[in-house]
Amino acid sequence: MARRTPHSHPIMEPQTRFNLDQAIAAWRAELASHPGPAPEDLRTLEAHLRDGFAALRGGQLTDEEAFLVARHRVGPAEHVADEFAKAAPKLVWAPRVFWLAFSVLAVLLWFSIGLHLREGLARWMFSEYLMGGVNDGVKTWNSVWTVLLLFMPLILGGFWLARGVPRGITALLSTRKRVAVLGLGSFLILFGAHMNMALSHSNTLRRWDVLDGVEIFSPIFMFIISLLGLMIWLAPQSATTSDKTNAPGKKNRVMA
Amino acid sequence: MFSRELIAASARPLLLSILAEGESYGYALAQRARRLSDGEVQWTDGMLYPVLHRLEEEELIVSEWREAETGRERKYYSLTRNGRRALEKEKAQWLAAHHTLTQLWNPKPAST
Repeated sequence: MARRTPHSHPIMEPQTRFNLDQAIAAWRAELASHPGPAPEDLRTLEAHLRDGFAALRGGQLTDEEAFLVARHRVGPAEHVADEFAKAAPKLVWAPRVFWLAFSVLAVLLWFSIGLHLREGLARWMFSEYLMGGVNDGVKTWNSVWTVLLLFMPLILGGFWLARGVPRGITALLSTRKRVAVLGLGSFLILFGAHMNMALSHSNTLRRWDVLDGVEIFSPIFMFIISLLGLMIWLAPQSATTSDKTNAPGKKNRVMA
Repeated sequence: MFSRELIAASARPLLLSILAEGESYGYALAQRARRLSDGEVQWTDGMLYPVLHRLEEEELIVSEWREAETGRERKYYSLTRNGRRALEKEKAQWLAAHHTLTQLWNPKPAST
């Protein structure tokens, strides 16, 4: 269904139904794929494009032509994004640091889950043969097993992410609240895994040595907590919550 | 013909001056500058909005999303008190520059 805009053409309908909202959504997606413009900027640019389109249509141009001219006047997506990036380098670096922190957390999480998976599987299947690594043959097999189970999915995941962060993940992390909830969830899993490890390794030791394990792991927890803080601080704000603030953490806005 | 540098340098006083006439939005600002300059000043979006951003950060202007009569939403910018003060400064500077140059280009018999 082509939605009628307020200045609907009174004389005739264009031959091929041109959907403005669809065209704008595509244009917006292209612009959003470049680093630089924040959601707020995209909204502003869209308002500008719609104004330009409204001013152009109604003349001799078809809706599609009016849209193409208006889009051309806004400028090529790459160029516009570049200008925004130059004006606010923070907007370019914040997501990069965010994704870096996200990846570090994901890798940590994967390893703590993966190590348990490996230990558990090994115990279940081959018991001491794999775990002990008494002779060279077993050791080699053990490391192959580790690589396959722990590193291959990481490498594959890395390749997958290198093709661009999938929309599902970006949508999942679109607000601070979600990042906070997901981050806390990950932290609890990590915490559980590490505590479990501390407990299982203290089997040979006295019970009280669990506390030592906690001490050993506390720097790791501090690191993870600061990583989480960084992620939540840099988390992308959703388009609706960023109505009034242009960039996160602007001092003048807090006072206003 | 305005050079790129001049367009960039004049954006600030131009935007402040247009907004001194009353609040406005991005597209209208660009149109107004274009008409006033007989088409010399053609701001691209990539140039206009970062400048507006900066002015907002300096608290010279404030912005607000509102629905226009057409039903579409627009971001309206208006001058703050700081903005008016900044405009006075800009005006003094540009007039001084203009005065200096015109003295050289149109020497009056009375001067010096």
